[in-house]
Amino acid sequence: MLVSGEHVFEERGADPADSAALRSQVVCAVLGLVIEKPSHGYEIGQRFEVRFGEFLNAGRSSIYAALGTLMDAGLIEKMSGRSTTGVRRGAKAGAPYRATARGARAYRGWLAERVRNDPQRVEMLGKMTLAGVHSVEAAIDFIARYEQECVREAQELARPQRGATGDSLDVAGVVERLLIEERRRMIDAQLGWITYARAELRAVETASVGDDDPL
Amino acid sequence: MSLLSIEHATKRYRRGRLERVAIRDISLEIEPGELVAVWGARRSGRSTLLRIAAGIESPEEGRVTFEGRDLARCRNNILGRRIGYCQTSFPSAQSGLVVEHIAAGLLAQRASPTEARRRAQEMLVRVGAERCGQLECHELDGAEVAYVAIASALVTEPALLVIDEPTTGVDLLERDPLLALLRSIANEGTAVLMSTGEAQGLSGVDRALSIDSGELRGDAKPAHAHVVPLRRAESGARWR
Repeated sequence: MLVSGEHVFEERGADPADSAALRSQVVCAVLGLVIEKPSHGYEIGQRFEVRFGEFLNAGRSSIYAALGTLMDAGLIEKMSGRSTTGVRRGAKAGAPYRATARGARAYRGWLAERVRNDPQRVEMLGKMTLAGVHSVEAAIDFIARYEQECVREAQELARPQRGATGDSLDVAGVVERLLIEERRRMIDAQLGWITYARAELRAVETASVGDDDPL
Repeated sequence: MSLLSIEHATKRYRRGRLERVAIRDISLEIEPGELVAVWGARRSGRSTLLRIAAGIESPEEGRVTFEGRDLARCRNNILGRRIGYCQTSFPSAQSGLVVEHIAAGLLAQRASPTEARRRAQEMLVRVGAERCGQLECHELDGAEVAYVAIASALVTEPALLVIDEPTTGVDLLERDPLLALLRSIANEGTAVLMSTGEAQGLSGVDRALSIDSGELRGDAKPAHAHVVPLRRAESGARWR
């Protein structure tokens, strides 16, 4: 069930721990920024303001709180390893954050649900998509999740009941059927777009493989 | 043990030097009384999947079992008896009365002509197409063809009905009643596996899967065992 307001993650089909972590749009936006580019907290705050400041109001403390939430959920981690100076760096406070594989999956799942359920926020979602889905492989994965959301919604739509011939005119029943049919056709359009998007992405993928081919 | 179990099935088609993978490493289980729909665009592999589920084709890799038996080894005994494969179109050369067309499946099982005709007519009544029995096959409209095809596949009382795009060629307002018939067939205990290219075909099914480039997505197994009625509806009861 979709929860209103800030609580935006659909429970079904998602890891419950990830669902709990991604209940806030600020947390989701921060996760997208970390996926886009491993960064320190301060830099993430700056990018957040540029990218989402128009839509989401979050101060520095909110950004760090979001990073803490994502760390606790295992969706991001601190980087370790050698810096360019050769000095060994541990997972300490100054290390940049990066997304875990689980975090990337959870983000794409969240995006797929949002794109289907909330067309009013398409502009913001477009920015978030750009932030977190930045490879053809990730985009194809995102499309597959979106498809599953559409298929699920179609499955859950009631089948319109039609009275036997000769029934008195039931305007309410007709209107109900028309509303269901309208939603079905919307889903058909979404599924059609998915088919197109896949073809487009695969063409890009094929072209990029061709570019790499030394022959 | 599932009614139908497809395990890691892969099927390729070759034409000259070209090769196309129709389905790729697909696994799927279906329980008695389930209605499962597979949504996919054209050339997604949906029809190949259904033909393999029905035993019409065998996968090059993987295994298909029906009621615990390897379908590749015993499909002649199963297809048309325990599995009904339903094509919702007649060959253009198809002639003869509809009731005779439906009875043919029973005649192949050595039923007497009288018995076969009686059961064929009963099946037409059960799917709500009794008016079609004495028509020639070429006289049927799109929806009638679909109902007759379903009756033809069901007349041998299969445990699994496989139907490829049941609403193709059916008028818009006729589609929901047809899909409701498939729902009621599943409710009676006959599992139904269908393909569809429209959201309409997914409404109210037990499991909705999608297929693209031969890869199946969604729940390959049912979440829980379905409760199957102990007996069919009384003879002559309508499914519609």
